Amino acid sequence: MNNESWIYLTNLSLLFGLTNLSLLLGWLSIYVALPKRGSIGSSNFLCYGFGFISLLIAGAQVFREYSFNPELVLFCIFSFFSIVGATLLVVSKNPARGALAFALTISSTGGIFLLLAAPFVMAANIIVYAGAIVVTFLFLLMLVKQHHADLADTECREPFLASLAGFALMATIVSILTAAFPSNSLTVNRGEVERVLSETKVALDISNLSELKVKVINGDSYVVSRLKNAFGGSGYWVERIEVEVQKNGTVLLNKSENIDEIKSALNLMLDIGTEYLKNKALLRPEGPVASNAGADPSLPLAKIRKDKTGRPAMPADNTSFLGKLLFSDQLLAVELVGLLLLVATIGAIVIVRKLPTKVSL
Amino acid sequence: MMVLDLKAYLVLGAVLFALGMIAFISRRNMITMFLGAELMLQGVAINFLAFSRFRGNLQGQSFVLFILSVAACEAAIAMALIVILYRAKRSLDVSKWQDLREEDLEPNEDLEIMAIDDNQIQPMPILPVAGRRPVKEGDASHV
Repeated sequence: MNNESWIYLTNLSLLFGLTNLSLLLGWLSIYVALPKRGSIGSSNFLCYGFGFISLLIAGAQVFREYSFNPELVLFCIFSFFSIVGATLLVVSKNPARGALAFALTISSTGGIFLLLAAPFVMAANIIVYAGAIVVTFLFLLMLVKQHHADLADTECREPFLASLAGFALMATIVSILTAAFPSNSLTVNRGEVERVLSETKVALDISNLSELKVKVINGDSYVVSRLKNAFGGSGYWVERIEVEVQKNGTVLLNKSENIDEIKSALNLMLDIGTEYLKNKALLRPEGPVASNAGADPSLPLAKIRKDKTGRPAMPADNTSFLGKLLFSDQLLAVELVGLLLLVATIGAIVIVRKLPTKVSL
Repeated sequence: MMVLDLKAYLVLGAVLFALGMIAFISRRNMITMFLGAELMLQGVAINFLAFSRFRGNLQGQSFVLFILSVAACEAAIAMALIVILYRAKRSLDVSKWQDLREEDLEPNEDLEIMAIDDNQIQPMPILPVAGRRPVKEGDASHV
């Protein structure tokens, strides 16, 4: 590749953004790989190349955006295999291979489900999909065995428009998500909270009013606003500081000249900060939780107990809580699903009941 | 730098959903179309689980279990339908059913595929009644 085309490509990527470039390459790869009339498969290398470059760009984006930890590596591996499996399903000329590629997707999404703290759903998913549905359809393929290559497998309806529609949908969702999550809105700054608290503790030993003010109250070192920022700027904990420490604006630490008042307010702030840190480390939610289902859906996000990465923590007994939830809150829905399964079984038997020995068209 | 957040999982769900949609609207083999629909359900399930994870709540997981049950029903019905459709036209090609289209719609360009090749038609395999061994001519009576 010569220099000019490199510059052109770089400009293109700057124009579109790397995410859109990756989507564009993915679209090209799917379009080239979709079985079309007259295509014999000579374009295989092209579509593999486009697909892998697209996935590489997407992976580089992910690694650039998030901090490196085992979860990120596992996420990348599992999503790579699930996307590859899905792509093979979309482009495979042999439906049996498509079914096996679908099984690959299902097992990789099982890994994603585990990362999302859903072990029971992972097991159920693999049993139902990979164990039952894919095997059933392989049996079906065996029953309806075709003796020659079928047009249905070697030609697509409107490959260009279909892949364009799919990738337009994908690009729309991705760009909306990129706009909706611009920064780390879910991450709570635990380190900053600890820093503010330790500085406050040191400052409480100072007996000189002006020295104390310079240290923790005046200007940028104002601990109350720093702590409020570290709590995320709004929500339950910030409200507690506003009500209990600042007494809804009646206590202004930076205007106050009474050292005892300042020190008692700082002590209150220390208590709230310590409780916050303790609350984040709890394994189980305090107080009544709706049907053991984890946090109440009506709670604001700031009130939800967080784990040490700053994300809301799942209930510790995931599977048993899920069972309790299903058989208490959603008992009627569970019964209805049972009924639905029964009706579907009977319906399937009724549909294929008469097996003619002779074909009548 | 931050830990993996909701967005990454939602993007993965969207990618799987869109790929499933492409499989559903462009492939002609009924089995591939069905698997594409299941792929879309997987994308939706990832969305539900991600929201459930980042809300600290189990409601999303129970929703995914309902999706699973409905997908199982759907697979049973779809298999039965595909079997009878195959029996009628001897093909898995969904384009052969374009005579079911609305009256004012143009037919698909591939009119030649509507012609059914009678030579290719073979009867469905006939399974023996359970518990009885099928009798073959010249078979040694060893049972």
